[in-house]
Amino acid sequence: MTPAVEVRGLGYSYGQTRALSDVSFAVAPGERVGVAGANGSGKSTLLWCLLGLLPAKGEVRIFGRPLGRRPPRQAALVFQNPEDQLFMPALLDDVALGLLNRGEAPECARAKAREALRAVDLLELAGREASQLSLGQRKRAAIAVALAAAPELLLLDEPTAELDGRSVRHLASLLPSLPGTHIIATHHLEFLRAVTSRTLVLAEGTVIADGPTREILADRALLERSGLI
Amino acid sequence: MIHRILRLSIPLALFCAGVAGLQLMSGNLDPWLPVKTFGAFFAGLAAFACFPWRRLPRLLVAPPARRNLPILFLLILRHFAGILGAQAARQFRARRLVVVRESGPLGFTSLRCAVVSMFRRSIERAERFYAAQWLRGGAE
Repeated sequence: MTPAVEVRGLGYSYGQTRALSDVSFAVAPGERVGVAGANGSGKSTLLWCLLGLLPAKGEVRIFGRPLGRRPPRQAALVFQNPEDQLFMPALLDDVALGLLNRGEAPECARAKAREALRAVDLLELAGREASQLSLGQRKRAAIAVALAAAPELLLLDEPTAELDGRSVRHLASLLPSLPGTHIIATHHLEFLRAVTSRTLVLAEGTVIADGPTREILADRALLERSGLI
Repeated sequence: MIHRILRLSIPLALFCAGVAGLQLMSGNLDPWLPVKTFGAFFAGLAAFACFPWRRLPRLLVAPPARRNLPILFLLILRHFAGILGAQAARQFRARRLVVVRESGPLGFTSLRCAVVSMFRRSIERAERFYAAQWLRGGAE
């Protein structure tokens, strides 16, 4: 079976600072993988490189295809800050925009946008502007933006950052119900336990562990070495 | 409320004084300059507040055409005006909390650092915003 994501020898530097070094792994379709690591370990950079947002060394294949000049249509990224994704005067228009960009008729795009908002339990707020919502609601709206295009691969960058406990629980119950392959970058260990079956641990830009989430989280020495506890 | 309006008027008055200074140097001072400056600013503010922003996305067509560009430009401009405003408010509140004196050479240095930091952060935000829109098919 063709992996959803295949990475070989990935490397990226910000000037003189090496952010990723010789990262290699593969993710099977339908798998839910966590990328854990302390702040500055290269989690966000890895997600950006997987979609070609940063010009990295090495090879990345998404569903068997190497990255091209345009972003892979099967993939979507939920950014850490929802304000990077949401800018329309109404959530419905924000969610529909990506579909309009891909040539869907406006009515069809809005119907799919409503479905995406329903999936994240925000349909009743479809007419609101993102700035009028709580951070937890904005995070879910950003997920709806990504979901609207029915991505086969969903990447989430620090989805629990700045969220309170209730919003984290809400997100943890939502993500397993969404279809497709998920890669979730976070240092929130309980969240990883709830939503992923496998975890890669990044430290100083390299993968230092890759295995079942339960085993990774039980290894205190590894968690201490990677700065996760 | 009056306090807020007065605070809002300070940068406008400074801008006005700067332009007046330039006009004075060229020997062509316009006595109506303050009226024009404040009038243009508040007229712009009123136009911004009354603009039918919520109807604008309904004018977008698919597949993407050239007519979408000015609509998206206006919406993105509005978004960034909001971000810049919120960022500036946070930055200057933080500066007021840490500087002992807002005037004088040290006050000026801290003001310069706050403005530079604000623009640097705005550029980082713009880069992430661009990446997000590119992923949503903004380049198609």
